[in-house]
Amino acid sequence: MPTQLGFHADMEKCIGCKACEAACKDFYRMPPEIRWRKVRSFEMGEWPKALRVHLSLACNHCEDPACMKGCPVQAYSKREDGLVIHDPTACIGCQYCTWTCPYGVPQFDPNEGVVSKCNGCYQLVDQGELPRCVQACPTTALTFGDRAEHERTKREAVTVAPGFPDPTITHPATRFAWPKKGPKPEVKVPITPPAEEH
Amino acid sequence: MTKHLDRRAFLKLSAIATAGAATGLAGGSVALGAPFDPNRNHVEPDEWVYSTCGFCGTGCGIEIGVKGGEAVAIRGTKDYPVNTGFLCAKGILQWQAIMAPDRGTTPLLRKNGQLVKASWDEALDAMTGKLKEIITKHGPNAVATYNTGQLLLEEFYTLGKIQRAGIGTDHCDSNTRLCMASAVYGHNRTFGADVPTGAYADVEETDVILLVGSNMAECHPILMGRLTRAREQKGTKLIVVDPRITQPARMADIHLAIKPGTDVTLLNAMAQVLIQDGLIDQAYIDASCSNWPELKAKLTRYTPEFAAQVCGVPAEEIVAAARLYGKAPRSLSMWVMGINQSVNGVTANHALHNLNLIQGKLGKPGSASFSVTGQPNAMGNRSAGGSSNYPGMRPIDNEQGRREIAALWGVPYEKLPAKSTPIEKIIDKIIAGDIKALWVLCTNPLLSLPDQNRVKQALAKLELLVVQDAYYTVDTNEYAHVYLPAAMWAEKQGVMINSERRVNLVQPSIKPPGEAKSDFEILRLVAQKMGYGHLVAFQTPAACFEEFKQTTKGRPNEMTGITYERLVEHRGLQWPVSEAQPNGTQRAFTDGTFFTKDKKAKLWAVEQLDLPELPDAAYPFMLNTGRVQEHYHTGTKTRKIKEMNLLVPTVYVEINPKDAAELGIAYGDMVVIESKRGAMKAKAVITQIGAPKSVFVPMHFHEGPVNALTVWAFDPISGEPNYKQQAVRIRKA
Repeated sequence: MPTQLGFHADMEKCIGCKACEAACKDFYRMPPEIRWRKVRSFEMGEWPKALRVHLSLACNHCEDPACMKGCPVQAYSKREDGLVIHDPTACIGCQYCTWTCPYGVPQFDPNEGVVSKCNGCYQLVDQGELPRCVQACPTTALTFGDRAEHERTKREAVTVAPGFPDPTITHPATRFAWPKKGPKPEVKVPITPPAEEH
Repeated sequence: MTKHLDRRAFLKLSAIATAGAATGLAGGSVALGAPFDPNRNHVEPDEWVYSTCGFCGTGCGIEIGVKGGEAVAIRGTKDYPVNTGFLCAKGILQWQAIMAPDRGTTPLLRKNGQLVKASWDEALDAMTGKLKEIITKHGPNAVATYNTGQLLLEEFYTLGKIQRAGIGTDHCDSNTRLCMASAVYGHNRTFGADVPTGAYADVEETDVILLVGSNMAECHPILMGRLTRAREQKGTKLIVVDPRITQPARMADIHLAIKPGTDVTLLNAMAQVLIQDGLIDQAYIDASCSNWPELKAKLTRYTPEFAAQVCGVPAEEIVAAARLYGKAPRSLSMWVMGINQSVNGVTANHALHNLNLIQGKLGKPGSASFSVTGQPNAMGNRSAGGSSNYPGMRPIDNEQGRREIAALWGVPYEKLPAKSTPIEKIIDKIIAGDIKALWVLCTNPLLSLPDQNRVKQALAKLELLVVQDAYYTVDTNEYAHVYLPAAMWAEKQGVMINSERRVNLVQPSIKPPGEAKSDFEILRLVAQKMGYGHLVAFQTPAACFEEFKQTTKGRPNEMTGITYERLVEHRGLQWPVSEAQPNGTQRAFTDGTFFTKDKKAKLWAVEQLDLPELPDAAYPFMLNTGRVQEHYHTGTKTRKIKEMNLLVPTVYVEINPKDAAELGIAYGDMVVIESKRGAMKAKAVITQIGAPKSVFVPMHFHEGPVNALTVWAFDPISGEPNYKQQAVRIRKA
């Protein structure tokens, strides 16, 4: 199986501190509204057994990236290691990809007139380092590596997560571990969105 | 900046050009001249300056990235033992708070009701002239000072000298009263000195952690990171006592969601389980603790069933928690404001110390009774005599201590005040007309003290209010007569001390904006104008630190072995640092002897005090207050950070869905919250993490000040406000 790099987000260990998001923003200095990585919060269950869980998401570096398919100017490319790269200098700002990506990953920046997204810190990866967000995670909830390796070594590495659109469309490389106390991933549970907007 | 705009303009232009081309070429590939660089906006600093983080009491090591005389980045110090390079989100982005546009650049004086620009001489003359006039007319006790846990140790020491040996007033306090006072009294009364027992390394060493009244995920995220990693690597157990399902509570092996204000009963019952099960160390108790018979007798009625009834959690869970804690070879308690900010603050601190002392584990690696601090240098204030004690942790009411300090300072013993006054008494004395002048340094009492309407009444009554702060927009400035623009921590030199007694250096990375001066300089100028120049003969923070060090010789917080250089070399040193222990002391009380007269730790037989206010028919909700991780205190710094404001832009109130349904409140609705003292508006967040008939409001927002609602009630021993429990009613706005 070819390498497919991607993120693994452990919802048990994520405390919603958003250091991942801050580290990304601080290095790439995108406008504050452009969030290449975004920590979403959800609730499951009822008091006193309720759970608030956090899901740190960026580009899922899909195996079958819809953004790339839809781009009229080939601003997207997929590397051999599976990372999906967007070239803003090729982008014409048509925003087609913001519609085709089920995960809302590409974001349009009206100031620059183009779209941008997480590139998996591929330059760091090429130097054998981890993406900025992963390096910044104080709980090690967020990790990075080969999708197959995640499936082999993690406590849990499933393709479904609360509020995460159907993974069968684009085959995202992101894998998840669910909170230990919560419902199992295969059980459909009502989710209360989102504490994130408060 | 020009480069940035050029690039943006270029991208915009090229986007338009490309769009045209794309239409013409019908989707053909377009080659552009500009090379693609994902790092195009990245700002690489010219240099990194070693320092300490300016937010919470975790005390992370940071490096401040400087470029062209501006702070442009912050990163964690990789080899700093506290955080090993990690930082929380606001820690990473705090350079924006330093560079904020509302930094004070000149002093301001109130003229005809308006604050107008003034020179330093004008402002300081106005301040010191009025102070002298008030002292002459009404005596030194008509003057009060109120400072912070966020100045540097040298500044606390200098201020301490000015207010005590200079002005000679009994009315000095700091906002550590709102934060650590209950822990301080707990330490003093149990151990005989204000010495935190543990070290952060205990988080990794221990087998079970009892987290009480601490939302570590929001308030100390980097410690929570250490805890989470320890749990994964070692299977460390976690017991959480909190009325809300916080992140630590979600993860916990046992979560005891007790009724607010019942911690002491729970902890007493846990201690009683340990006694019943023989999980205590009688030899240690006999050798190292006093008052055991009284405690033992008092605890007999604390059966799990009794506590279950009071605390509202099952008796079996209390027993399970106590056994998990007591049977572990090493066990660690950590707590913060859920314990301290209560009428039961000191009693709960005692109950926690009792629980750890009777097991005989305290002082061993992985076993500590550990109160974590909220501010980066609360410990510096406590060590240097910035508010309620004399330097070297000499209690203010101790004659021998005052005589030692009088000798060290070369001032008459009679001059030194023998008492200090909690801020709430200062506020009441202002309202009563006894205090005419208040000098506020680096804190925002208008927003942070309870019962805001009462505080407003007091501030409006002052003949002189001096506000010394980094931001001229600080809310308290609304009432100021004189505003003095202060440098921020990143612009000055001195030391900070974190929760685990780790002393570390803060270094100037950039120049303060405009005419702003370091608090150290401002204090020296004020002293000179007041005629106390002889007290501040030291010219530099380093010289001041050398003088301060002498006051710690032979004291519990000895720092004679510290120099600024050694702090950088060792990545901070944990006091005491003496000739005998030049590399500091990781854990206190390892030999079972304490600073009390009989060298024993006192087991205080405590019981829960009644809450000042309980929900009733008119005010049926219990209001809890606290922090969110995106913001800090009154938001003067974090609300200057764009990303933090996007994440949590304004005040909200957490309401349980059951109550929301009954009141017809939907997610995002504006609601009015009222208490007997005031009202505020907030956006409704409907959540299952709080119990029905309870609401939670964060404390950071001037547009929705939760302290308009909070009760004017205090721990009877520590004077710490009871922020966590009051009765309110809510309705849709």
